[in-house]
Amino acid sequence: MSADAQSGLAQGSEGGLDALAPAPQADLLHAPDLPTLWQRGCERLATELPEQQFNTWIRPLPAAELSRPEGEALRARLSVPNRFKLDWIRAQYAARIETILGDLAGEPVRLELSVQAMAPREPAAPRAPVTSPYQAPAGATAKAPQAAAAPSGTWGGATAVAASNRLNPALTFDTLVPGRANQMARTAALHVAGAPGAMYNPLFIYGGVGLGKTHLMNAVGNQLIKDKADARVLYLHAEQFITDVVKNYQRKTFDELKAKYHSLDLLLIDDVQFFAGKERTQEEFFNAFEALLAKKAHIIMTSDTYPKGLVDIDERLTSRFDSGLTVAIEPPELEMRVAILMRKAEQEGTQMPEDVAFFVAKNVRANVRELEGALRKVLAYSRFSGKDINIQLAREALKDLLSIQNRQIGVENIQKTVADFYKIKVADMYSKKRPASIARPRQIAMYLAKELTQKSLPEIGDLFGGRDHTTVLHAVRKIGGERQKDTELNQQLHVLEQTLKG
Amino acid sequence: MIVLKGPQEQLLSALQAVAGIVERRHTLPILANVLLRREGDEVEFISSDLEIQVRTRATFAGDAGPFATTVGARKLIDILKSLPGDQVCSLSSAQNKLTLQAGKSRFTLQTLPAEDFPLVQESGDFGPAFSVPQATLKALITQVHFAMAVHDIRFYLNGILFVAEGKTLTLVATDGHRLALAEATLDVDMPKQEVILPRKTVLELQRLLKDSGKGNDDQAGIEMRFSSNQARFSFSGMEFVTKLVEGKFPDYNRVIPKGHKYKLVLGRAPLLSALNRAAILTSEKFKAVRLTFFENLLTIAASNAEQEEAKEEIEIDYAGDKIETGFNVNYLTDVLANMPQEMVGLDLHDSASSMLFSLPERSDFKYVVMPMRI
Repeated sequence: MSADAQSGLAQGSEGGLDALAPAPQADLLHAPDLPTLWQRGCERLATELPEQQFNTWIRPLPAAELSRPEGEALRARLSVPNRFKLDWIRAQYAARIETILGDLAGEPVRLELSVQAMAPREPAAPRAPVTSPYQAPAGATAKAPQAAAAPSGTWGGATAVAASNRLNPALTFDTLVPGRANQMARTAALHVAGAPGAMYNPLFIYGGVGLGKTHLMNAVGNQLIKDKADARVLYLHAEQFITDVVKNYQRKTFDELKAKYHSLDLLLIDDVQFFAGKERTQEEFFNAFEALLAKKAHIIMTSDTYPKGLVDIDERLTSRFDSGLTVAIEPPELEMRVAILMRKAEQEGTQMPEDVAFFVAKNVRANVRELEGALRKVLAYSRFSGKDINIQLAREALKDLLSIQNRQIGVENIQKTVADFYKIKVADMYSKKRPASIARPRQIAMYLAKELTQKSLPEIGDLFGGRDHTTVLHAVRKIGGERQKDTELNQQLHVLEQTLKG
Repeated sequence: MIVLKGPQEQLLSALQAVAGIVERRHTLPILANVLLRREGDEVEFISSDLEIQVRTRATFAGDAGPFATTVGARKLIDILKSLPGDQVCSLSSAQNKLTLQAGKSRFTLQTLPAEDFPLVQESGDFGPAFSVPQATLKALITQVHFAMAVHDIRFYLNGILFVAEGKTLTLVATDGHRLALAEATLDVDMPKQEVILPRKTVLELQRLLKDSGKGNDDQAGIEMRFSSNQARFSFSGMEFVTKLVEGKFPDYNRVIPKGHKYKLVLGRAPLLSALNRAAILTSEKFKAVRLTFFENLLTIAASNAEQEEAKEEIEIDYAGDKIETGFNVNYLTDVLANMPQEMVGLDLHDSASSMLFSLPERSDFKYVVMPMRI
């Protein structure tokens, strides 16, 4: 026998050196109906789990591969597309799956989970050992080939349209948490989804990072597809549009470009601020814009600032952006953050107590992404340590997050940042100068100091040149009130906050 | 008082008969002890490991009156073995200790109270008893015991299936890769009874049963009785009670393939020695040998990770197609080493099928072994 006989062969009793390959020794005892074991197990599991959970976690999985290493239990290997899913399935379902498979097989079954990026399904390669009666062929319960969309959430009924509209089906109106911060934008989006091409065309949504602009856009797209399955929707990031234009330019296939974009029913462009300086792109976009408006198709755009604030973009475009409806999305306030946390925790299948949500929301203020990150951290912490979720645990899980926030955002840092922003000297922060051009930034700095650090009013007052705590209090109230009414101030504050939080 | 007094060999053989099942490591300390119980003229020796209990009796002189205690089995045996032979030993008890005196040696051992010794609760529903000669049972066990699984998670394979039906007693053992079956005829008709004896019980029985023609009563029989969860064996003055393995043994009739295309008969010893030689150069992990059946020739080939090779050739009387199959060499040598007959019959089908061993002209032994992919 040559060396190739050794490679890829495994003898289970040796500790599974090559646990992936089937054992070369054929099995004698025929167990009942193993090829359909996974299928039957899935059916049983489907009756036990809530439908959404089953669809999210179990249904997309390829059929488990069954093997029996020497002298050991029947082993079912399950391939999971990524680490996160694997951990989740192991924590939530592995025990139940093992029990069910064991019951159906009539003998103990051991479940093994491994990460295997999902490739398009195809029949198992011919590697069944000589007389093993139950090497469940990987295609035994093959589902329809999944479209090559992101593995995180796409399942079931992937049609050709879905593959090309690049929408994320997980982002819908149902999954968007409503609140004061996004009320206007959300209402506008709902209207657009209900009657595209009619009101608010184009819809321009702007706001800071991680607040839900992309979510809202995708929600409109998904809603439209739900109402009208053959609607031509396209979601693009501005960069992708730019690349597209460049590509068609090189190949001189302008017709293709026109055909692609001028025939849509709904065009969604994310982060249009990136069009800055790209003249040819802007021209093409302009053409597409006009064509779509002419045929009453709808356009939704997002950006990090309002149309007038866009730099290096042709006035032709910015004025057209203004012609539709421009709405802002604010950073969520406390109650909304709490609601978002609770909703997201529910989606992850865990119950989060309200007081913990409040605690997290109070300390994580910037944007929804940060909230998500903090939530995941807390959930992971609770899962890995096996403890219930309570404030103590959250505090521990987020201790780096909290300390960094508190540490980095020192009052000095705030003063420096604000001074830079308003083009005054840092020394002016603690000077006694009263002109508005200096006093106002100073007040803003005080406001931010109160918001972003844990320092008390007297402490802040001290750091601003020995001022009284009531001065700080007045500044905080004044700026806090003004930002509700003055969009520009609000915008500036927002930018400052983002800058400070890094 | 003197518990017993008698010749060293008699005491030693009684103890050795029961101490085979005493484990070295045990959950209860008292399980390391043997229970000594005097009733009239006889002393009972009882040992247990909670699954099996062995009991034997012997007549010893000693103070009359019932008496019971437990003392370390292994220690007592070791002492008795190391004494010079032909001693007269006496065991006496005083203040919860047992003193063994033999010649000029004196040993004092700790005891544990006899009441604490866990005797087995005999189940009430034993079926009818039946007997076979000890030699027959021993031969049956020898023919199949090596095919038992050792530590399989399918616990029902870690033992031997005993089936008594009509006038036939059948023993079956398998580990999922090979299966051995041996049959013997009974004197009386039995209603169908089917039990699985645990591995340890089987091996201990094999150790204790007498072979034929050992100068003993050739008809030394063993009486067996089965209940739903226990089995009882009585032989040579000993009584064995064991728990059974619960579980459903695979249906061996379905497992043993029928309809192999080709048959041949060849000498057992040359085949065994050729396989043993080839086994030297198999890899430790896979132990695979390749058997190729040509017209009138059988070749056995083995190689290991260091690219060393062994090749053996045996002349056979075979006129079928060329068949080339891989097997675990141990599965083959196991069966050949445990059958006393001179000739062995092989049934073949094709390169991907199992091989069936049997005795020519007889149907009371079968051995199926599944191939390896090489």
